[in-house]
Amino acid sequence: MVEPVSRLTKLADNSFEGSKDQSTTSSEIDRPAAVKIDSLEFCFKRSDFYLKIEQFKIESGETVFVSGPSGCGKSTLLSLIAGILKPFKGEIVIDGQSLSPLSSGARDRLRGDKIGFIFQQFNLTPYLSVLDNALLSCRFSALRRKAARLAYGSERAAAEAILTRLGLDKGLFHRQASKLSVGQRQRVAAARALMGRPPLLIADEPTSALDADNRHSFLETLVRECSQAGAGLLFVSHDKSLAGLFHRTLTFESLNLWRPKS
Amino acid sequence: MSGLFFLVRLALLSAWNRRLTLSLIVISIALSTILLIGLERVRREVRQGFSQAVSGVDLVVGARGSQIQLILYAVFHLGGASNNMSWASAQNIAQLEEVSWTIPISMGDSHRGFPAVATDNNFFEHFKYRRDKSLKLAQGRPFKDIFEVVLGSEVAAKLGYRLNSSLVLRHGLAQVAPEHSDKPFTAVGILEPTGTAVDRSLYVNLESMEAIHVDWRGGAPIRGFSVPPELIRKFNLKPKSVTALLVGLKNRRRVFDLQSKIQNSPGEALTAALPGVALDQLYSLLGTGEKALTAVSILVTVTGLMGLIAAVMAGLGERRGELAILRSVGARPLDVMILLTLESLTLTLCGVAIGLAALFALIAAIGPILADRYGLIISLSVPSTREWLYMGAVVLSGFLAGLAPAIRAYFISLADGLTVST
Repeated sequence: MVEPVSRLTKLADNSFEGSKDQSTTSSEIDRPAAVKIDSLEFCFKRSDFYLKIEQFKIESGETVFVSGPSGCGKSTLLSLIAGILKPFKGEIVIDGQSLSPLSSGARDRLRGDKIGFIFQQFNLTPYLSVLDNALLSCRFSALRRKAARLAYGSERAAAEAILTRLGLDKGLFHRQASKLSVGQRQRVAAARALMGRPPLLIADEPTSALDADNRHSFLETLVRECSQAGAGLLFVSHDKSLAGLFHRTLTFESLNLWRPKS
Repeated sequence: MSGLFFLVRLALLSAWNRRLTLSLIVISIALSTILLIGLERVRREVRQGFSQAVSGVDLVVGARGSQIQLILYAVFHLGGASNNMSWASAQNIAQLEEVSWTIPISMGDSHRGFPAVATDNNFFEHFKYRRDKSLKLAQGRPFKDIFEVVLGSEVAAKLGYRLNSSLVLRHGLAQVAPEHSDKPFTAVGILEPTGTAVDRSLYVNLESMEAIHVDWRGGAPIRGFSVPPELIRKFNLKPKSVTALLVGLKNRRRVFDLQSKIQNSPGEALTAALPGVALDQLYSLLGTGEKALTAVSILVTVTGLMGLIAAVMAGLGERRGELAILRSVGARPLDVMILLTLESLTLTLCGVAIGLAALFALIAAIGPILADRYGLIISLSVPSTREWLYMGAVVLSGFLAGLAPAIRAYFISLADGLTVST
């Protein structure tokens, strides 16, 4: 999947910024950045909101915390990276693959192949079992099915291993998702996102429904799993107290260069 | 394709998850199917019963006139004949070499709204309905003598007559006509239900019909002249005319020859009608009512499918999160659309299957009662081509109806993306 050309560019990029990111990406030096944004501009029709990002990058295996109040445009940024929205200017590159030349169908496939999502709520399909929910991310992506089989022998074994690592009891695997506690749900969602080792994970306020204890242990597990899988993690939240666990922290304000005229 | 297989599974599980709401839709589609297929089945049976109201009768002969009218009074005992045919002509036809048997029919009198038909014992022997069914007596025996009457099943049931009940005939078909009250009849037999006009008729022999009219002229008793029943046998009771003659041939293929022979005979002016052809003509006249019924059942089906659209549409609101998750794991808006279409298709298929099963159960349960009470025999046979077509049309309509919420889901998932804007 990784084109040689982009691999070369990636290597060039890395050698250029090598000293800065060495600590986090030394083992993943041959992998392209999980996500890379270049002079991005976007706005909705009939809206005052405007998004302008000059440079933003998450290396593979790097965990990044972006904070900002709700309604500041974080979700818009995530939709752009997910390929749901299309920027009118600039470029987004996921794991070496630029989104701009792709059709919407191809962007859907790329999202399924390369990005794992964890949301704040509505995270699971309520009528599916825990196992089926975890397997959901493999259903639309042959690439992730293949990766899961390669690593664990079968997709099911992969799901069971990841669920177990995330602290879910085996007895819960066949329980309907709607019958889980909030904390358990978020862990299943994380397992779904990690299945098939996508290069990028996007977490949109995944801890806001959790209590303090759960929040901390969930985050620790998530960050650990991402680092181990070599996946970049883009974690978005309004709760700055979580920032300590990440490689890098920035505010959405510092990311978006556009300022409303006052 | 494994993707489609997964979507089918997802659609089934999702529908099962909302089974309480959706079962109402399935029930409404099942009811539509019962109505549509049940009506079609009844229609077919009624039509068959209608065109086989007489079978085995190859020709119906009467005085010159309209064929349909002839069939109406000879087979359904509806209305009266404007002219009779002579007994001599009837006997001539019975003597023809092509003819196997004849059943004379003489009409005009009635009993409490039910027509009284005078005939002979050939009627019990040769009259057939529904292809090959012969008349059977539920109780008693055929008439042997004058003033004996055999009752159709409905006549006996409605009026509460039993064997040996006594009854008088009324002159003419009108309720206000004078009665032959001086010459009562005794019920000697009651026929089994046939689902034909036989059930609603009374049968006496030709001589009885003559006997009750010996002292009548011009539709009224002759004033000052009355023959008591004991003396009636002294009169010549040979009929002078009959209303119609049902004819059975030795060789059915000669029916057209015989028809033209009778119609062109130099003697009395007669009409000979092929009952099958005339009954079909008659049925096509009644076809309008049948079409109206079909239209109603189609409307009911459409209503059921509207319910399907409404239910699936209404469910979309609470499923937006579910759709967003599918989008996040790489589902295209098209996949979402397929999922919703599959769901509607599943519901329709379930509805049609349940409806068909319920219809069969219903036929099995009340079929014997219908056959017994009304002579309406609804068969438990495999669906006909036409019924399969109807069911196919319902499933296809369900699929098309399902496209409406599916298209809406397509645009919802396109607009929502990964975030559900509530």
